[in-house]
Amino acid sequence: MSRDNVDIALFFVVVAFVLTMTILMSIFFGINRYITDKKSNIPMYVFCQTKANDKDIQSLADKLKQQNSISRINIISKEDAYRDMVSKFSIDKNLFEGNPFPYSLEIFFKPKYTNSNFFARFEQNLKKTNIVEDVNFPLKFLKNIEDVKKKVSMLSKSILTILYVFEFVVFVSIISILYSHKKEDFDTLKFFGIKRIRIFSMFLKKTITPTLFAFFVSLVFVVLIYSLYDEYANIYYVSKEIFKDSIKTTFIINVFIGFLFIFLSSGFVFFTKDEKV
Amino acid sequence: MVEFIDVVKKFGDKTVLNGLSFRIVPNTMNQIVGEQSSGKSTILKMIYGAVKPDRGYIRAFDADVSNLKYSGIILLRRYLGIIFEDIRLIKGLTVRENISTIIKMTKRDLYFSEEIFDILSIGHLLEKYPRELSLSEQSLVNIVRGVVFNFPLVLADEPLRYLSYEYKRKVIELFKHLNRQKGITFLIASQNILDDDFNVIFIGNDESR
Repeated sequence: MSRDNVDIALFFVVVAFVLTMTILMSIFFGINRYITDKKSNIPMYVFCQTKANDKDIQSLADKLKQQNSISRINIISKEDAYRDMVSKFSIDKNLFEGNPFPYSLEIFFKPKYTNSNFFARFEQNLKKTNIVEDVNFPLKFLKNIEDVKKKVSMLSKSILTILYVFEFVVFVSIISILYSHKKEDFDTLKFFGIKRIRIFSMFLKKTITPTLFAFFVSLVFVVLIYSLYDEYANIYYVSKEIFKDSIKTTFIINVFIGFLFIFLSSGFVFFTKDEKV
Repeated sequence: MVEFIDVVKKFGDKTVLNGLSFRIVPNTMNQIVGEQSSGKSTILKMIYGAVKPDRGYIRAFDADVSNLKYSGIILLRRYLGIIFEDIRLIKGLTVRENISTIIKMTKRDLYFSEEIFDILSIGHLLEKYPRELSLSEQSLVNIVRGVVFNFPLVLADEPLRYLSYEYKRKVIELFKHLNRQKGITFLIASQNILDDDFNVIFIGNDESR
């Protein structure tokens, strides 16, 4: 393999790295966000005592809204609850003597707080309030979705970590080959009094230049993938919005990681292989 | 300018130099003559600090090379013209860049003896890459790189190996010319005596001569 071929190999390895990691990361981000959205749509229902009136409910809702953990609250009036129940279950209105339903609140929490532990604590505090009769939420579903989220997050982190480690090893290997091709030239320069730090900067230039070209080409591909996805594709779990949002972030992250890897592997290769001849 | 006192160098079990002593005075033409693997290249490498002696004292200019730190060796090399036995042109650079990179990378503005290109007829090769040159052309560029900046001391390791008889004479005349006109000191390693005017240091079995 000639020197030029090693440069080209490095260029393609970096393109493959950026594209693979960007797309894979976007998919993982997308799935993760999908689960998080689903999770944060699990509400907590607060049933008030029948004696509670409009004013009491509004005051409780306003008080709760001030809490940082809550994203939104829906107030369900006695009438709405009654109408809803009658229409949903086709119940004969004559069975009831008046409206037996209490006021209730549907509380949605921010994703960070939508978990069984926080819900349990929140429930305890709510029950201390005078007008609250009962608190209910789908505990089993919440626990299941928490478990799925944890597993998906762990799986994606593990896959990404393994791939990053492999990529780093590939970078080190290819940069080692590049260094071997240049070693004689570098040693010759040292014989003419060129400092090692100057030679290291030359070596860095040799590794960074194909990397820069690779990032530029990757950007073109990412824009292309972005447009194609927007135009033709839509994976249910990775909606267009989520994919388009995440691909920008993951591209920037991977360009940064790519630079860091190239810089670190160049330094590692140079300082382990270069000699004071 | 260069002094070796009782220098010993072994490679494994083989003693290459055993108590070698000699002195090179400025403005002279000098030659180390010895058989193959007798240690000629090792002597030159010791002067530019690429090989350390096992024992003994080596001086180049005013520096004790045997005890010099690497930063000092790098500095010393900036005053040496080196002609390598294995040519060592930088593959990715043109002939012109190969020659100029030495001063560019050390940020020096040295006088460039361009007439040497004409003397050795390599002017037409300046924009070519080493891979486009024959071995003898590469060898000429290697020689030019060693002498073109008029460094006070030139170390030449088998510089004539790949040259025709005609070019061997041209190069020897060039060396003598540079010695006379610019006061450059030469230390040339070769297997045979190149010129009767050169001071000769015999090593190895040739020490008996």
